[in-house]
Amino acid sequence: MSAVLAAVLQVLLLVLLLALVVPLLGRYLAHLFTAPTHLRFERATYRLLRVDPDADQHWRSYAFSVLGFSLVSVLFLFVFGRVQQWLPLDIGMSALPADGAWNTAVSFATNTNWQWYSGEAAIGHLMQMAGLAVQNFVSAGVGLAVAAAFARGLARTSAGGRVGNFWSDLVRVVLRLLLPASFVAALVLVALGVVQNLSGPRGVTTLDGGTQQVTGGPVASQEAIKEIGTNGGGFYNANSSHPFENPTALSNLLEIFLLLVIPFAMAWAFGVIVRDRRQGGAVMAVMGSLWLVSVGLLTWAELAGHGTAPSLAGAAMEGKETRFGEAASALFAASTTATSTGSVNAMHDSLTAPGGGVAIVNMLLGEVAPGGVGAGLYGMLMLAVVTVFLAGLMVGRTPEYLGHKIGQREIVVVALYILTMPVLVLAGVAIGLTAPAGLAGLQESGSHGLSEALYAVASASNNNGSAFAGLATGTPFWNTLLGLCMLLGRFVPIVLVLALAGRFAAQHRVPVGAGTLPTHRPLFVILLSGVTVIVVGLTFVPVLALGPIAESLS
Amino acid sequence: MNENQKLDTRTTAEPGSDEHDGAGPAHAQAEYAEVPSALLTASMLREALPGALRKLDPRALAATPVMLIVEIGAVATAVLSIIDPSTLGWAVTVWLWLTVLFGTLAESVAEGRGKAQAASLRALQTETTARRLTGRDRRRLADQPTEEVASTSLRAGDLVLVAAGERVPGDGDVVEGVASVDESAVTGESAPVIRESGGDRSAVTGGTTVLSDRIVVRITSDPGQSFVDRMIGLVEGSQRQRTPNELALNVLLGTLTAVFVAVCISLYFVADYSDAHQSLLVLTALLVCLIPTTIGALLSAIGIAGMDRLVRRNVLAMSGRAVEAAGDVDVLLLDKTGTITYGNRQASELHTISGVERHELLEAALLASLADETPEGRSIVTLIEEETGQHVSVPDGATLVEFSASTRMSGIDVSGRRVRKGAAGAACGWVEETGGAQSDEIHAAVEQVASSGGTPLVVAEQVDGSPARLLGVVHLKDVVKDGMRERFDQMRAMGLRTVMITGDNAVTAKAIAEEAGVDDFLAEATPEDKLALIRKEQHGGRMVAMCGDGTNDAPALAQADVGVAMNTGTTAAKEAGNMVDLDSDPTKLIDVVEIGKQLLITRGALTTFSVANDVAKYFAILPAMFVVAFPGLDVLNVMRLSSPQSAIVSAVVFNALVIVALIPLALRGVRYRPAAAEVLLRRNLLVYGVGGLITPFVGIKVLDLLVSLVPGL
Amino acid sequence: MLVPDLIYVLTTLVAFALLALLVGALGRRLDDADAGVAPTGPAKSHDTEPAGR
Repeated sequence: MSAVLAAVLQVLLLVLLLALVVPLLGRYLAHLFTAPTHLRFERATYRLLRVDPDADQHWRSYAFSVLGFSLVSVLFLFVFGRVQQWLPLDIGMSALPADGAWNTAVSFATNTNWQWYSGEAAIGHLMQMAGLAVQNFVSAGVGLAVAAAFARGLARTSAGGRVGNFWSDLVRVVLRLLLPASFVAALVLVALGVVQNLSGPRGVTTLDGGTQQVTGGPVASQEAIKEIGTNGGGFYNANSSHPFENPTALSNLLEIFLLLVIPFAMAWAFGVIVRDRRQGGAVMAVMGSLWLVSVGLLTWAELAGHGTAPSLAGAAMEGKETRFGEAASALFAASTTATSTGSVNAMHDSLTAPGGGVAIVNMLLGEVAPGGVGAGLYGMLMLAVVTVFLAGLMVGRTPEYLGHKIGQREIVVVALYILTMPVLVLAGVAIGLTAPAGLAGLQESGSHGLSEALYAVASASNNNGSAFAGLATGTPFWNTLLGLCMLLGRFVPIVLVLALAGRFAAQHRVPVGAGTLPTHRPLFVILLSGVTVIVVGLTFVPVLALGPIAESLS
Repeated sequence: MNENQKLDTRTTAEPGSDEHDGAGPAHAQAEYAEVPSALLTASMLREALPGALRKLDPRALAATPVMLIVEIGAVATAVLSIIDPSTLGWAVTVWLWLTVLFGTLAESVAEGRGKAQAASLRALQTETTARRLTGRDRRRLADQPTEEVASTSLRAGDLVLVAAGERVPGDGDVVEGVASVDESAVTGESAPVIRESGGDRSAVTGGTTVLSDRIVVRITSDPGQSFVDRMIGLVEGSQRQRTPNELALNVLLGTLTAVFVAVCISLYFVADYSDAHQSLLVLTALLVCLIPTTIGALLSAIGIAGMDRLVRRNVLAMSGRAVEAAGDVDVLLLDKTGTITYGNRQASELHTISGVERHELLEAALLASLADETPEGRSIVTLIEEETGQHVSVPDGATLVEFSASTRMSGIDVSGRRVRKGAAGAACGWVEETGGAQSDEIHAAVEQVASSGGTPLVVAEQVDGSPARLLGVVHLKDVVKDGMRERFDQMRAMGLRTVMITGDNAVTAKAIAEEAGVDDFLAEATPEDKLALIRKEQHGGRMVAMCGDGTNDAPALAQADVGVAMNTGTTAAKEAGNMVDLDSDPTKLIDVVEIGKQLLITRGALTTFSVANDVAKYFAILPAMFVVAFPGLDVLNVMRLSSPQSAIVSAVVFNALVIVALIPLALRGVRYRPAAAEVLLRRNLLVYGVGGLITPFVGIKVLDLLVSLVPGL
Repeated sequence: MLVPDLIYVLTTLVAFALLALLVGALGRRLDDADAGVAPTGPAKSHDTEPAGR
């Protein structure tokens, strides 16, 4: 079987699996975010948290709940990292440095899961399980909750800015979706050979007679939520290229499936929530086609294998797992960067220059194709609002999306959203490449060094978390810079999304007529894809030209 | 007034003419097609230049952040070029200044188009002497003592006497008397109009001339607030406030600008890191090319030109918001009479009964109508003459029997023969009185005509005192204007629902509504019904447009999102609406909606064009900037531009020239053809999106061929 | 030892305080208007009527 055929077949298999599961999961998600009844153990949780799950929150109150919850998460993780050496199951790990602990705290609370450290050499089991793994669930839950609030905002009219209840969204999504799904997925992963124990590092003798420290641990349980919640923070530094995390081609495909399924299902759920499935279908079509294009491009880039060394070796295999091969690595790389997951099964630093460029562009799209859990949906919907604004003017009406007018107030919010990520990335890159402390972290100089810095900042600002692996980021400078990118890149957009949700929920509905621009038809899908690509292209082409493009063309 | 006058006679000639109604949009295009040649001439540019230079003031530019950034960039490059002179530096500096200037020039030209009209309107404002009433006794107002005061000192509430040959000193309502008034100075309509106290024809406009009789006018506006004052402000654009969609678009353009500022600043540092140091000059040139200058420069001109297009059709919008709202209208309330139908009932058919020869009926009906000067009567004559092909005049010695409210019949007595036509009850009653026989066939025909929405007229005759006999029924019909159905079909495609408002009963209303093809009708409508209907539609989130003229229309006009008051209407109606149609042509509402849509489409299309242009500019400038450090990037120089300097200058020059090239489009508005949203979008995307991608590749390449001839580039 | 901890805790608190201010600012900008009336309606007296006119 030729490499290309194998590549196409695995993508087809993946698409088939998704096509089967996404509609079902989407309906379930929509039900979860709109059903009025609570389960018994949920009620217990609400009593514990002392919140009223039936209060329909105003968007400001919803936003304060999100911010309050996340602030507590960050501070809790920060303290955890600083004192882990005094806690049980520390397996001999010492306290994280202050900057590192803060970076890690922000990273996991923002669903970024950027890791400046080697997991197996820095984090004890208790912090992995009670700190990081908990955030894997709840930070994913926060993203999903915000997306649900936005979908409800679009579905409602004359609701006085009320968008739902954050606590009920969060608790439901964790208890009814993420926990059970992770449990099942973890069992399957164990069956496929992923490690799950509580042992510390042990010495083993390798084939050539040397000794090596191998750390076991609760890997499978974290592996499941790492992919399902588009978190990406691996138990091991090598992440999903480590055989204990991702032993076989089958587990590899399962992990890719897990990281894609909820982002796509959220688009379906959106259609159900706004009572017009075609709208969800259109959003999903945009996400799906952008994802497929990036998979295609990345696979092509890797299989074509530019450069002298790859042509001599027969393939661009450096930094890639021989267990998976190039195509599976390309599929993983495209999917993990397109979903804000950031787990890797190959070192992205070793992708070919155009391949690395595709990975960077995937993140720079703003993680919308299909993006992180929840975050992908609201990001894409924000772009849809911009598209509707431009297209709406061109049909001669005040632009409207799903019966909501987009006037000056609405466009101010969207404009701030559109502005946030590029400013963070561009400022971050400029600072990183100018400050001596930033330059000190670069492994290579020239175009590739630029790609490393751009990758890191793009990854942080878009809450992806994957790393190019060429950048020595464990320094106070990079920890702080990237921490700020992650924090602002997560919560500024969330506040804006909730504000727009509230604004929409307060409006009167505009009836849809023949003069209304249809937003479920192929023309709109093409236009939205075009706007997504062009906006990103115009913003980042100069930097990309000096990084991956210059590298590819040299 | 020349140009205005010319346009006015054309527009005022339209309402009654079939050709206009039959081909509304086609007509509109024909009109636009002839304008472009005059849209932008050298003399217009010359006249607009001083204004354009004044607008370079940064405080004036602050309203458009995009252009302010260009001006700051132009100052920066000028300073850089003075410190370190180079051909590239000066070329970029000059063209950046030209970019700003072209933008202000566009606005200035747009305003200039209204200046001529404003000047002629100002002539109306020359101070006149007014005769203000001083006394208040029991005599008629017109006999009260008066004092002579300057027209500018009149205040709202003052009563003034205006006699034949005098100019009305200010806006007001006639409170006593009837007069014919020449309003051509304001409306362009040369035929005088009647203005009388009470009723819906009482409003007079300052500056118009009384031709006959004398009237007492109660002034309704203070100095500087008059109708003409507002008109001047509107046509000059000085009172123009930015509309909601324009503000929203400005926010988006500002955001794009901010993104590109961030791009260029970060690029300075990133390029330094990459050992491809970029001068501030080149980065400024890049910034100006990237930010949406095309739409930024033309945005305000588009708005002014939109108002201007309305003014050219003799519609005055009291606010830009109203024009824009017109594009959003979902429901059009149209009065039946004058808008959908010609207003007068016309004979459409004659029904005979058995025992009566058709020529008998024709002759009798013709006789009965010959002396009838009402439109209905004339229409009967026309119909019969068309059928018989003969022209008949009133026989000698005939006695005309006029219509009266008590007999409800009219007719003619000639040599012992009495012919009558009238309402069914009246005519049948007359026949019975003379001992004539009734006819079931007549009743059946009357029923049939009435149920089809028409008005039946029964014709009968009495010869030499013998009993009268019934001859037949004339079917009078409200005639729907030609082409209305097509127009309503188009509006349906645009997503507009049309509702016909009429005082007729439901049966008549339904018949006409079906014939005209409107979506809905409101029969036996009172002003309260109208208001309730508007409220109901608005409650459902729809925007409503209507026109009206009477005082009792005022609440509905005020409630409607777009209320077009007829200029012949009362001051109350004009105050309540947000537009005034000087031609008092209710079909204008449809044009207003189209102009509103065209305004938005023009903005959207030029924004798309502007953003799409950036792609080609990147292909021109990026290789130019970095090819020295990274020779591989020369692959991106797809246009094969001759040198980095030439590439940068060509992009900057293209960026400036495209503004000038698009001024006519901004002033004219992009072509609008009523169609469903997706059809419009597809076409505009193809023209302005795809066109915007391709054009600059061609333009920059051509410019590069020229620029490369300049030594030093 | 405690100084960097303090700095990072303060950074976090300041960042979230700024985010809360953003919520407040957006709230003032978006919520004061009468949301029931389409923001593009013409300037008319009924603009000030409550929602659901």
